[in-house]
Amino acid sequence: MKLKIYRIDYNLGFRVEPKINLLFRKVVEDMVKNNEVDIKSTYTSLRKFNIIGDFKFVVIEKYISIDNDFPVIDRIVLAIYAILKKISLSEEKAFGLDTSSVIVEKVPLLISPSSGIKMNRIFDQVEEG
Amino acid sequence: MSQEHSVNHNKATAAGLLVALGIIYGDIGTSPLYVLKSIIGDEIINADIVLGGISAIFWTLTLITTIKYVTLLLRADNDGEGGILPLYVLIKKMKTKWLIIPAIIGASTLLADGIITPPISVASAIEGIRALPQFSHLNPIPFVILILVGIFFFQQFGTDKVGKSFGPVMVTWFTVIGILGLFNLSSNWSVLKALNPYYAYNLITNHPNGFWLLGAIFLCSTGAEALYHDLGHCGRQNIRLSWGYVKTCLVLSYFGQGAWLMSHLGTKLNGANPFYSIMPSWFLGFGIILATIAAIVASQALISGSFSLINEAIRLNFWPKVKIIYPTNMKGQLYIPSTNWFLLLGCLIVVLYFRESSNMEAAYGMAIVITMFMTSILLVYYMIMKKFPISVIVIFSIVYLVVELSFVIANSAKFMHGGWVTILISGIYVTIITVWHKAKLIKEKYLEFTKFRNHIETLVALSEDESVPKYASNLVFLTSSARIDEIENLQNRL
Repeated sequence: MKLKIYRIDYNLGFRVEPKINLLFRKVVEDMVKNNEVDIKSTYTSLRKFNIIGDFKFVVIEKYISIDNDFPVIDRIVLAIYAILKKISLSEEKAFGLDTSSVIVEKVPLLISPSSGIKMNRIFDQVEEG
Repeated sequence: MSQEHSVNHNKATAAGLLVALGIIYGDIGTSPLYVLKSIIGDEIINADIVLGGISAIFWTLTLITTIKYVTLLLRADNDGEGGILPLYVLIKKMKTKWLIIPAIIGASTLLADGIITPPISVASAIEGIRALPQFSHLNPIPFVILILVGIFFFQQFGTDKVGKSFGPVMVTWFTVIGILGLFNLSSNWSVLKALNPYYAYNLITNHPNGFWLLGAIFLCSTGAEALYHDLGHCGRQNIRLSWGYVKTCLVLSYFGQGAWLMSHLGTKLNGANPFYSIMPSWFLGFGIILATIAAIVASQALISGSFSLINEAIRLNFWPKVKIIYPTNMKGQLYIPSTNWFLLLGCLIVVLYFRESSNMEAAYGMAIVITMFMTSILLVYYMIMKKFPISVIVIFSIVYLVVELSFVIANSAKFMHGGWVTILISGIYVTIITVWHKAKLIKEKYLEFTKFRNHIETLVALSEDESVPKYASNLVFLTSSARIDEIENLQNRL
């Protein structure tokens, strides 16, 4: 049986453009040639006609919400970091990915439940008629 | 790959030597344009300052450039690459945490130095035009700005084609300044006695304010850091061999200027530049054009160096990801628009704020002297790591602590004369690098990794689950986990 999950590591030098889109295609072509991977569409209808399946790149953006109980220094650092992040290049562009095949998912990195909040559940008295 | 590197590094080739000459020596090679002029300043020319000055220049070039950079630092390559950041990566293995501080400060001051080197080189070259009587009142600023804007504008098209002409240009430059120096030296061979370091010592300790002249003397070696940073481009043997020729020509030029100054004892420079003064008048026009081209080569080298440094910083997570363009197919050619335009802005501010190269000299050197001091700190740790003989390490540490700290102190006097501009810019770079790095560390602290193996079964089941609508045939996730068997644990993040 062909494996379903692969990990690909690129060893790129300092001065090489990380064109992941192109490099990835090369890898897939090579794996198809070696009969290691099946890239036919997984949709039954399309598979019948031997149509190649689509590839979607998932970029996970891990962010920290500043409303956590951080020390002041860290909060300043994260505030400036947020500004830099805004004006800097997005991950998908930096990796040379074609935006049409990329989906960015945002994942919060830390939710430390702020302690000291007490909540009381109030049960509404439903009047009986 | 690594084999290709080792071949490049162990052999000197004619082509390699030419490339090295065109890339590395722009900055250090244009220093004769302003160093002696800056040392003499407004003083009445006297034998103490002339002989002491050229003696100090010779010994600074020897101690800083030949011994520290060419002999020692060129050994400290990281898989062929040289420079303060690759050096930091090398010694990171020692787990000495605070070494990141000199690395960040060194990289920042080096980047900040980039806004003043192009203006000072181009301005001192162009100002030579005032030595021609018909142009004595010409305002050089518009020409300086025009040339700088031109250099930065052409970066986006790639510089590999023009770059090929840089080698021959610099060979011509060094040969010309060497011959001119030799010609003047032949009129007064006695200045050769300044090779005796006593004259330098005498100037620094006995001359009024002699110690502070180190700030001007230091300008002769501001380009030394480039020798190390371009190691990856040029190869060790090419750099070592070409430095022999370059140093000979530089020393001849400085000593030739010294001979000219010795024949003008008791007068003042009054705005004249000994560099141009030693040229025969019929040669001046050609000399100014050649100096301007050399200044352009110097600026180009500095700009390319800044691009490589930012690129390295990005890969080290020291700098936000920015757009990088590879304008030609030649490997290693980079163009970083944000860095390019920021540098141009900095250069224009420097030109408009200081207006004259003599004002820039008063500010120049403050940032780069800090870079060199930081590189020395890292170099000491490199020597410890590589188990150099303890005596070598101790002697190096003491000598360079004294020499470079003296240079740092003498240069710090430049703060009020405009040196604060480069320190301010360095501060901006330090802030950006520190914030970016620290934020990544904070994020890493809260990022957990999980063994990939434990999730395969779930993923395969999910992929075969017909009750979940398909999103795509194949999904590709980008991971930041360095370990091959791990992946980010982002479960239960609500």
